[in-house]
Amino acid sequence: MFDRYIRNKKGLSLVEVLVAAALLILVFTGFVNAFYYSANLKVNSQNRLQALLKAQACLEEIRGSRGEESYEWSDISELEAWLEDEKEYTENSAGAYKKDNIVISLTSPDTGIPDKLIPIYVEVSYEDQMDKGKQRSVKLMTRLREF
Amino acid sequence: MTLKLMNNKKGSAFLYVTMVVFIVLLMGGMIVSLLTSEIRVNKITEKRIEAKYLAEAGVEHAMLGSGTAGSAIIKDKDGNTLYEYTYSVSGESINITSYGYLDNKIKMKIDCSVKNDSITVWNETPLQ
Repeated sequence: MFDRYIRNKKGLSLVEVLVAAALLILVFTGFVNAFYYSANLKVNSQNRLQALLKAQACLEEIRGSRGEESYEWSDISELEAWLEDEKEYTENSAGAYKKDNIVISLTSPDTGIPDKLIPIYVEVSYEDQMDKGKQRSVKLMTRLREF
Repeated sequence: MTLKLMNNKKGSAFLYVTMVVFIVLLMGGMIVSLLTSEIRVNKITEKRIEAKYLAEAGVEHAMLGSGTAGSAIIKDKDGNTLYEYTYSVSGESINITSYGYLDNKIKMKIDCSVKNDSITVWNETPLQ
């Protein structure tokens, strides 16, 4: 029966083929656009998560180097020195520490925080896939006690 | 009547196209749905990580507390809640409960016990 359908070309009028082709083009264009957009969204989301995991690793390294066992720093001045001397961050004009796409800030705009509690902001930038060339960033914040 | 309809081949190309379009849309929908669900999972993971570090800031803050018990809600300069903690001292242990907030909603709870500056109990509970 299917063979008979294929052999029978009576139904393939020009108008029918044109309408069919137009419909196919419309659907495929929409599909390709939707696919491209959501694929870019996914890559963006992955890049963002990667940046956040990098910020997390950075925070954990700072926390792990505090105190007695792997002693690197115990107060804010030692932490600043450790970041510059050991981890090769450079201090920028805003007083934050920068290396590659990571910026660490040890000052907080918030008030009423004890002096012995060091605010730590780690910001990691990544390229936005949806807006090529534009840099976006993720930020993690915690506070650590001086030892 | 049915036989007459089956023998009439007019519109058959349109029928095929409709079938192809349906299949393409179905496959496309599935792929897009998979992609967006991954994005949603990544978003949840991000929120949990951010809230976890805010809750940990609460634990660190509580460990600086004095007296046998205390609590505080810490906000940023714009008035958004960052974290909230309560602590109580029993013997040599400090029992701390800390909540990490995002968009003024509790997203992570940490229950822990600290003895001589070492953590003896640590439980993290993500909250919706």
